[in-house]
Amino acid sequence: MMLMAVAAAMSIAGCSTTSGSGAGAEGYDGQGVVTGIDSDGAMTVGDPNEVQTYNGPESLREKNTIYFNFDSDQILDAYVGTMQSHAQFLRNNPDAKIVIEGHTDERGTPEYNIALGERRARSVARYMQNLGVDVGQLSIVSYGEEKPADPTHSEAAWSKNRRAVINY
Amino acid sequence: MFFRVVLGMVLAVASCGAMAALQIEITGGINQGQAIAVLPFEQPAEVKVDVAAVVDADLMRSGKFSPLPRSGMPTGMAKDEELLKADAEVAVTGRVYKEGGAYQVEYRIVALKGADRGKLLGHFKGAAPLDLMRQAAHRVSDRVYETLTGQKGCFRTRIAYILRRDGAPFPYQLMTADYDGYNETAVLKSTQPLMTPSWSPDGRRLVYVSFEGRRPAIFVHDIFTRQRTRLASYPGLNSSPSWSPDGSKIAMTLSKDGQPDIYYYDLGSKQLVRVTQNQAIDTEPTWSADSRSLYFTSERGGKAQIYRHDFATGKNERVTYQGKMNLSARSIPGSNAIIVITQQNGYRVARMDVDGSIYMLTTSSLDESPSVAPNGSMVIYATVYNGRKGLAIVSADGRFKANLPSSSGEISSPTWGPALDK
Repeated sequence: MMLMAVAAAMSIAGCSTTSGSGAGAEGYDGQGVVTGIDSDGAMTVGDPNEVQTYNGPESLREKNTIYFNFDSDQILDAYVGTMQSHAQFLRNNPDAKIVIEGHTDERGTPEYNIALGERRARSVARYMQNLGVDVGQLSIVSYGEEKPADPTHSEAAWSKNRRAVINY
Repeated sequence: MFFRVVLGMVLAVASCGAMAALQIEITGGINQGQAIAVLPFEQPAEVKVDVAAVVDADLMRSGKFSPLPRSGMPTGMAKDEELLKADAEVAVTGRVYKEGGAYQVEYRIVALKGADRGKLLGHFKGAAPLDLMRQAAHRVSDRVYETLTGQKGCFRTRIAYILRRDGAPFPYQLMTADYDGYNETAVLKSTQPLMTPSWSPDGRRLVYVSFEGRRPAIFVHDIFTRQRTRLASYPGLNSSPSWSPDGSKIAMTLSKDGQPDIYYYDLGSKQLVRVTQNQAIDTEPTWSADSRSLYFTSERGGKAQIYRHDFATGKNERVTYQGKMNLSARSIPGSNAIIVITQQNGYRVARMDVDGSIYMLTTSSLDESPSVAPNGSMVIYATVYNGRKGLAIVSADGRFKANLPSSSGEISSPTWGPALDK
């Protein structure tokens, strides 16, 4: 499971709109996603106390991200080692499954970037298959430019955001 | 021709919300439109909205008018001999007054130059409740705009957009607001990304992409009843929903059959129909004004360019040839031209005329998500300005530009709602 509930203390600036738990009715949307009504009348989806954590082998924690060149889905030589490590783990642990998230920088349009992010994630998945990983252990999702690792608007940020992230 | 006039329009609305303390920064081209004098309205103290200021700003943003500074102008329903002193082609003069329990907005439009000098072009009066005085002011703008251009005004429209506030409990928020950023309302707040809102033509519903299930799905959301339905959650991409202007279909991009291709969902027959089938990326479907064809972005020719699918012939034709890459086509109602994002020294909003020539409308470098006003006069888009992503408006002729910087968070994916006759 990719998600773990932890007590996330979040500071909310000034009088910004709040707040997940507490206000209004809560329920589920039938797909296991928490829904509610915020104090300003907006519908809410998701649990703000749920945070995404890395659930893979500890030895690969620092090696779960593969970076790409601009507008490219080609796996660079620098990341072949990373791919081989994950592939080996997956071959040795046939019950383990990974989700490959594809991400892009903000240049170009959000819709085009969603497609590009998918291509990056697929590129990683294909490479894993070539390394002998069973297709049933692999799933992909593209977030395009929507979840930047670095939210600033600079070349340095863009190079950190063009990435595929492997999680278990 | 680059002005940096910062209008002191810091608005004392509620102190919460992304668009609070909205500041409209005019970045170009205010002296090229028709010179118009919008005189200060005479209005009771309890009317907090400066009606003339709203009208002034609306007309300027259309790119078709250059309002004169209002300081020193007479207030209220000025007499013609006073109006004729103004160095403008047209004057608008009016007042708000209480009659019985209701407030009345009355105004006149008078020609000041040429053969029509002194001619009354329009005289209107209408009731407006106090809490809807901003809407009433936009209605004045619509009337003035239509009287002077012959085109319908669209200053009483709503926009939708996505606000991202990193660190907030629900960082991704789907918002609606008046086209100028006022009266902001949150529709949906999520822990996961929201993308690409698109309005139904009746202005009641929004279709959008939500990642709430840790994968993309397309939802239709009634903003009045808060009821929503999941329209698409296929394996792979579910992206770029776009409601047809006739209301009958929702186009989208799906990759369930391999590479991203264009589909539409027919709301009448409840059928999903595949439109393109191609090894390259096809995405960003948007409708022509008559709902008979779809523009989309495709890499079938190498780099991304705009293509058009004609439903009558079933053929796909390439539309853009100039520029390294063209993305995000939007038809301009009442015109054969389209708006695109073109890659040339960055990504910029451009207009492609029917002869294929591309006319750059902006000089920024990270423009995306253009959306055209229902009357074709203005384009709203997202861009990075002063280190933050926010909204900006450019007139479709490129004459006028303004930024609508957000006071907190990053704003993207603006989409212009329909003009509603009320």
